[in-house]
Amino acid sequence: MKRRIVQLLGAILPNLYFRGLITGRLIYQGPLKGFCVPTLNCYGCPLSLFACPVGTLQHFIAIRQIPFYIVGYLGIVGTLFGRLACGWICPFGLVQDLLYKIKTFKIKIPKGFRYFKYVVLLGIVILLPLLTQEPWFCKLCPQGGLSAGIPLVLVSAAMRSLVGKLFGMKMIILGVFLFLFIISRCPFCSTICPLGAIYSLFNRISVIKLKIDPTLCNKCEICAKSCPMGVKPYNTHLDCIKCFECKKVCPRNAIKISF
Amino acid sequence: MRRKSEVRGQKSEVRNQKFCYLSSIICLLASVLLVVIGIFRKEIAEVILNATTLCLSCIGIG
Repeated sequence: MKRRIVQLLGAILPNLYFRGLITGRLIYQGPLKGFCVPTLNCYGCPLSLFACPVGTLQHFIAIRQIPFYIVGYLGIVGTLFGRLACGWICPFGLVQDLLYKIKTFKIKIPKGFRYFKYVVLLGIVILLPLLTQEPWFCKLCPQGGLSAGIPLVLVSAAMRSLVGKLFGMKMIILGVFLFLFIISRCPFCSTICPLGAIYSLFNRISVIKLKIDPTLCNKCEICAKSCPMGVKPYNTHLDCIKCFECKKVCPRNAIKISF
Repeated sequence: MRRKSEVRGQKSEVRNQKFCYLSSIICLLASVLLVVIGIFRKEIAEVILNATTLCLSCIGIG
């Protein structure tokens, strides 16, 4: 419950530019856009006050400038929190968690698919923008389609008149992901998200981490069953989103948060 | 015999913990340095310019 409230705040607080809806300005153009939120949050969203770290990273790569600021920013967030932002404040994570509650058949994503997010990071976020000077992940990002594409088409008649095949393709990608969110747990976080891939590299050394008391843990795996990412907390795992669901369910209180 | 392996395990855990602390301090300092360099290179202005320009193809419209 606590996590849901924080996730909801994480989705609402960076997206509070309601003035634009009154003044007719499509997106916020003030100085706050110079700062990134630690999660995927499309800056094309009419309500968004901040920049998206993945979009910003791609932009710098596309204009062939070394992205000191954004790399440093991701390093700070990663070193302090690891993938904590994924589990607690990512708006797309919230969408995934809520859709997974729909009762229907469920599938488990094979573990090998977890490494695909590093391919996305290297191929679509770094190499393709470097070679073609276009932000390719933004063009495919389902989060952008949900939080920027749909709202802009809804609020602006000019945007509606521009809708074409590209929008249709983006909506198909979004539809596929929304369906996957219903039938599998955190498929985007575990297999696609390039930001999660970056943060996961810091998970082992992050300041906030889970600590397992080996004298109390009997490896009953109740924690692993409750984990939305399907990882075993007693093995330090790159994919742990530090949601602390495992800590809640551990019958022997063997899992602690350590700094 | 068992005690010896336990002690060895504890020692390696302490070493591992030290390595983690040291790595996180180095990473944090390096990241802060990168941010400072970025600010001096006026990258924030570039971030604002990029984030306030509506890229139609990025949101799937144009």
